[in-house]
Amino acid sequence: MVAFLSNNAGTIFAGLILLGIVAAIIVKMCSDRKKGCCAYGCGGCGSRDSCEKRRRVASESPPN
Amino acid sequence: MQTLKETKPGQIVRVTKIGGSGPVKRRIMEMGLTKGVEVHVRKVAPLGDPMEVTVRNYQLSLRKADAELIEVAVHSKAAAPPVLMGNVPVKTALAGKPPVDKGKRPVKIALAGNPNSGKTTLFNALTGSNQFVGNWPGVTVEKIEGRLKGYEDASVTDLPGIYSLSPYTPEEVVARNYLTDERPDVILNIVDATNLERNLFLTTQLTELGIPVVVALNMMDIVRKNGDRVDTARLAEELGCHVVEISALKGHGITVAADAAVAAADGVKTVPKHSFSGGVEHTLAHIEEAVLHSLPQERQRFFAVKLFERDRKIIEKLNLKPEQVAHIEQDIKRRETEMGDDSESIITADRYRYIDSIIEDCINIRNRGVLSASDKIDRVLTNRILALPIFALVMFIVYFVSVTTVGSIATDWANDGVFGDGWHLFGIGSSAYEESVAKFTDGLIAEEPDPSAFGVWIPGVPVFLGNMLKAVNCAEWLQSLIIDGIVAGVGAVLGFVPQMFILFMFLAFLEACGYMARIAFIMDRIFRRFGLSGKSFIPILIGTGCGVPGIMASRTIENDRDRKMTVITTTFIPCSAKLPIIALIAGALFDGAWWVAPSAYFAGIAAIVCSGIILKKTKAFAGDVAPFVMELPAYHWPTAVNIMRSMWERGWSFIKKAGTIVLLATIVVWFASDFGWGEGGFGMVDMGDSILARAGGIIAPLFAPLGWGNWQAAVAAITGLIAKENVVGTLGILYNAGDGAETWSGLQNSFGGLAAYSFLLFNLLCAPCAAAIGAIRREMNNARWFFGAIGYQCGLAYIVSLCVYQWGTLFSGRFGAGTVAAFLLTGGALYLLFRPAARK
Repeated sequence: MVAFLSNNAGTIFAGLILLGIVAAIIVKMCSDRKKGCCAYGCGGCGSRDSCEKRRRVASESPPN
Repeated sequence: MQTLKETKPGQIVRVTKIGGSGPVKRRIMEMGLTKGVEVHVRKVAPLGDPMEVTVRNYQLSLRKADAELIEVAVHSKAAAPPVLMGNVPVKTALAGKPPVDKGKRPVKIALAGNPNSGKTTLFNALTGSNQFVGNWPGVTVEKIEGRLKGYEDASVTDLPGIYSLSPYTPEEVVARNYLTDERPDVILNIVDATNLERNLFLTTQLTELGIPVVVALNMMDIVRKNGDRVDTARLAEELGCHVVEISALKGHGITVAADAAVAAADGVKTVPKHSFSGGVEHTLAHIEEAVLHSLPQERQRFFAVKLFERDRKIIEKLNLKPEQVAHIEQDIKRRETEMGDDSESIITADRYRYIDSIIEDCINIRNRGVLSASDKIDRVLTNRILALPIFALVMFIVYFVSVTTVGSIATDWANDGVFGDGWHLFGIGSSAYEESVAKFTDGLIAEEPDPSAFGVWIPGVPVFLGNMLKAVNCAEWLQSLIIDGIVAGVGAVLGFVPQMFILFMFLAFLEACGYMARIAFIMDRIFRRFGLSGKSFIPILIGTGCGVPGIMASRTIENDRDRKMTVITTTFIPCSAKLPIIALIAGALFDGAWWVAPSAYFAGIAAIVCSGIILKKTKAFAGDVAPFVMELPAYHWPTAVNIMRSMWERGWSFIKKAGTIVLLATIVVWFASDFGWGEGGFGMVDMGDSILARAGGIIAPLFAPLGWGNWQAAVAAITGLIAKENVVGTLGILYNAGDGAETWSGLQNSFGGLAAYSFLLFNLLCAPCAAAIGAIRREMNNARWFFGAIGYQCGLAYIVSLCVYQWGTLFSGRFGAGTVAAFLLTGGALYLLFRPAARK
């Protein structure tokens, strides 16, 4: 087992990074979908205001 | 008797009567065309319809069929402008009052106003959030909330832009329901001060709601620049509410407006100052007494007016009994007979009489009747002869610069440098290096030149990652997944990012400056031929960026039939996701020919026009043409910040899409194209024996009549249903792109020019990406319509691609079963185009 891990450390390391990236993408797409955006997120979408479940409250900004 | 239709450009007339009935008449009157108003006919659109008129100081576009309803009398001399009674620069009616207690209690502010009045700009300024600001109606379709800057517990709700509180469009219904049901504490009514007459129509309705109203006069900087004057104090007195002067774009008066709104929330409810004619007031009092006495006093006025107008939605909301409705109906009918007009027209005309009196008392227009800068520009851009060629030239320039020239230089660098072998920093040393490579290739030098010897060499992503993975002894299969799969696929798409950014910048400029609204005006005549109005062109133009907002923008089309037809046809126009496909085909198979990209765009328009003609002749879509009454906003030079923001947002969205959905798809495609059942069982195999090749091989014959019956093209087209960029990503993997050049040579070996163009047309016209398919499903809200729409798009794409390929091969001397099919399909299409319309 130890020999397997040490012989394939590079592969395991690269594989875990890739797996992490893929998992993060899937989680983000699912959470965007729940917010009412299509799976690509809302940035740049001219109709993000019109999505059915979309209500957004902007955080308070510093006064003028 | 003369109607507005017969009035020649340049003539000034006065309206004597509005004929017709129903929604068309109501909309015409609400846009300001009431009895007695002066109308200046400016011009007629290039194809003879619609016409553009100036009424109440703004430009209105109106079909001749609707103009025929308006009787006019020739009026050669404009009325003398009113003299302003002093000029009191009162910024706010709150001057002198005690300071506002910020954070006292939750305050709900509703932001209401006409489209193009600067509402979204004001909302951004009040709350600090970023909204997309366009220059034609329909950009904001749903309400948005934000927290008011400087206040602990005050929220601002941005209502859709509306011309009135009548229930014609979804936006008007949304806004009205919010105001009557949720009862905000104050309404901040933004009014375009350069267009007061039409804007005040909504104000008169808002003051009847029994909610405090603060009027924010926007664009006051432009008013002053034009030399016009507004007596703000007098206006406040006549409207019966606070009036503040602002310039939302320049950020002037925003805090004052916010303070005024919060203070008004605690103050006295606005009582409308205007009254209707005696008989109408009598009827309204009777209605209040008969059916509204149980409501709070301040709410009765609004409902009484709506009941007088026979507003069906209000009657349902109030749950009136049939006998109650019959009781007030008698009074309404009596009033209509007495006044010789229907109840809605009576109310509308009365409102505009009141507004006319306000304008006379409070406004001084210095250059009434003089051509504005927008008018002078429109003389060229909407000229009868020049308009269409100018439009074609503008779109040609946009696509030529984005795809063929500036964009392609940057994309070559991205494809061959960033996602290829690498590049020299700032290009220093690259020509000398290329010369050396050429000498080495010709055998003139023995040793392969080292690029780092000629300048600062930056290795491309595949080389960099490949070296890193080799250094850590990564397994070959994982290296193949990362380099040949993910980097090849995603890189093939990201290589087009420079072209995307340039295209988005152009589109943002055209949207923001006001030219897009003119395009609707120009295209109306063509669109009306197949039963759509120029308004349908707006979602289609939005669709050049992304099909999803384009489909959703169809909500602004009142007519349900037209809306469905627009939803079906919007995605025929190439969106930004399809641009990489166009650029790839143009670059790889047509040697970057300039005509490929514009031809794709015009093919989309042709598909929309022909689909409209064919569908309009079916029973499902047959019917009268919807009215086309649309404001033409003034041109203005858009701010660089707005353009850059729009460009960045859309570009970033494109990059995010490549890094998410395209990345996931490339992993699946790589796996399916590298694994399969070989001699040793399941494992890595040659691409030709892979899962993807076998599956693709089953469906590929379906596309053989289209000229591209190979499994790679079939699979690429299918993956395009997830995201159109996937077509390029998939081809990048399947043709084993180490860099762009390898993809291109692989494509050149698989496709001839005709087959490539057929492949291009199929991917442009067939069902859009998953997100757009989802938007179609939501908008259709009916399984039959949804599947019908998708089936129509796929069928049209197949037929068009087949005909293009088969007719093309016929000209090169080949004749077969496919040619016969093309004959029959073309004949069928011509019949559907030219047959008589179905009767509804």
